[in-house]
Amino acid sequence: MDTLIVPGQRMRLLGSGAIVTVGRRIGAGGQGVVHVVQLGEASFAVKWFRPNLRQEGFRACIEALVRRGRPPHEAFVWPIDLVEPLDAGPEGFGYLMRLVEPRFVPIPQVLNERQQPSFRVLATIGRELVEAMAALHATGLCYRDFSFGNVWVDPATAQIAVLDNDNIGSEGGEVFVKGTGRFMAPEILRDEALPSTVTDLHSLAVLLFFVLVHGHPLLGARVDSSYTWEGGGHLTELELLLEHFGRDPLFVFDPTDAANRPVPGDRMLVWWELYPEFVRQVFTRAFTVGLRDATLGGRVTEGVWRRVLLRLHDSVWSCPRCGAEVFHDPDRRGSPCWACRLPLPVPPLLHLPNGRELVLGEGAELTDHHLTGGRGAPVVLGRVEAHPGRPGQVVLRNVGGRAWRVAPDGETLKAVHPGQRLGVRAMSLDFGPARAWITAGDG
Amino acid sequence: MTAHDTPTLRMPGGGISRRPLHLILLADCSGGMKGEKIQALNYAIADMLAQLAIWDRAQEQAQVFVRAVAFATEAVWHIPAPTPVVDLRWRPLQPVPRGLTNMGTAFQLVAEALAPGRIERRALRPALLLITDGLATDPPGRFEAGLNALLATPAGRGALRLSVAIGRDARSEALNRFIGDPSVPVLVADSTSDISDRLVVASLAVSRMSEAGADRAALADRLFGHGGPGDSIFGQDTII
Ligand SMILES: [Zn+2]
Repeated sequence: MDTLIVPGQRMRLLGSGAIVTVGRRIGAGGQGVVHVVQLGEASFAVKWFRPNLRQEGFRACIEALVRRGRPPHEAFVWPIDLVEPLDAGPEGFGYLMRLVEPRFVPIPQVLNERQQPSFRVLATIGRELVEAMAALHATGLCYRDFSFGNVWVDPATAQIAVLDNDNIGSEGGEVFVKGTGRFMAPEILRDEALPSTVTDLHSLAVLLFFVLVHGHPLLGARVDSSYTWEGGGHLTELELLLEHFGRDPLFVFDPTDAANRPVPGDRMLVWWELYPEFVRQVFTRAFTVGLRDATLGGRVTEGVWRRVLLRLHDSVWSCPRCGAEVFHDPDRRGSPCWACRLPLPVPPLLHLPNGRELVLGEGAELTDHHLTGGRGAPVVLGRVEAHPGRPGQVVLRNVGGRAWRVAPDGETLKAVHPGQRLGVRAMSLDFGPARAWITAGDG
Repeated sequence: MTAHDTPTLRMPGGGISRRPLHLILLADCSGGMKGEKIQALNYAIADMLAQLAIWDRAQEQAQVFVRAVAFATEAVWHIPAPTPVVDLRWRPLQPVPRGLTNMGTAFQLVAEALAPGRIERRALRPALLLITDGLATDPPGRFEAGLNALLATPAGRGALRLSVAIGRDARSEALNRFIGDPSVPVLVADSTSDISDRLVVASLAVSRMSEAGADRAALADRLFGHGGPGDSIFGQDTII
């Protein structure tokens, strides 16, 4: 009997009893196939697995995900219901999930574009990855196979879609997948551990490094020199994987061992330099301590990544000399612009509650999250725009619903009503829910 | 690309740091290829390159560079410099009137390109794709001499060697000797998806360790052996 489903077949949803009609095939792999299906007017997708030896356990795990109902985060393309053939159909089994819209593309495709996303978009993509993983881990589940194959992004909104949710489960549960080599934690490659929340955190760090630094954190000169075409030719790629990602991994920017630095000309060298110190520190922790200490304490957790990526988003502005997009790094005053090499001045800064600082660069947005914390979709309250009359200077437009009270240094108290623009200069501000102040910078 | 970007935005660029994957095409332009055969050859290459370009952009492991040799009585570089597949526009080849099918001379040319020091250390194992109607007409000993020169280079020996037969009467004896692995079939020109999938799968460390606790050696065979059913790289169980 055939083991795959074909267009035109009808299938029953086990939970709801509804009938779906199989449409065209949109994916195929070793495990099975993915087809579009119609449920009345609505389109969904069905992932259908070929029969395999451990089918019963696998099916039970997916059933458990279905029973949970809503996914922990909207990014997950969660199993909605199990499906079975209506009439005599193929062996094997499958599940229904939402159809991923075409606006989602593989993350590398976005990073490899000639016109690549802005720093703010990169930081947002990273944070969306973190939010999705945080929500999953907070419910006690782990993903187990986090890689670029399974996480897609909408470059316009930075929303992500996490695919292949069938490997999600609770820690200690039955494991059907060990991961994707380059993203796997060293202890899994060494056969000392199975995928878990802790190993997910390593995979997350690798993904974030790819998104921000545009390379693999363990692929440097030392790995390069182990490749050879002489003698017996290349070691097998599997041997290299086990050696450099499993038995003896070394971070390309390890502060105490420079043996595995990116090779000359590698783009990672450019990208790494332009990030603020607080970003580089957290990556360094993830790929030094985090490589060796496979615990929740040793690895960088989502809460830490969230803070770092929010702060990074707030640090974007542009070089006043050449216009290149840059980050403000409070720990490295006067560091050079990556594009024109001239030292960067201190930008105008909005100092917020809880020690947060928002660089008032063109395009920056002040949201309710800045004032009162909070999660979910942010509400934009202020937007930084170019000063209409003074090139190089900026204004902060009130795009929220309430007036701000401001006290510029040496001036009287003023009100900034909704829609009005405020020339950025040293001052104190009262936004209502929170107070803040602006320092003018030295640009 | 998106609403967030302005045309004036200056960014470091350069894409993801990836390992080079060299693909060298050896295309048969003998007189016997005229008509439908050369059209089939050009179609197969253009379609395969288009699929490789899509794959190239969408992943973080390898950057595909393409070169091409056109051979008949003599072999010449059609694309001499390694060219990123995403930048490549295939210029159709024409058959050489009364040109012979001397494969040995093409192997010699490729052997020079894969000589020690000519290919990056970090490059993935290169892929060589021979596209022909299979009727080698080399003078005695020349086919073997060319193939031996190719196999004498470590990169040539390590390369994935595939061939595509053009035409129903394609003979595969020469092609099988080029491939050097009885488990790898000669491909046919209407299976361009299969060709690009095989290139990618066999050249990369595609290391999705599906079965927990699976025997490493068996796994290595499955990952790095030639072909194998259902290894579609475009799949990886993601939705296209
Ligand atoms: Zn500059």
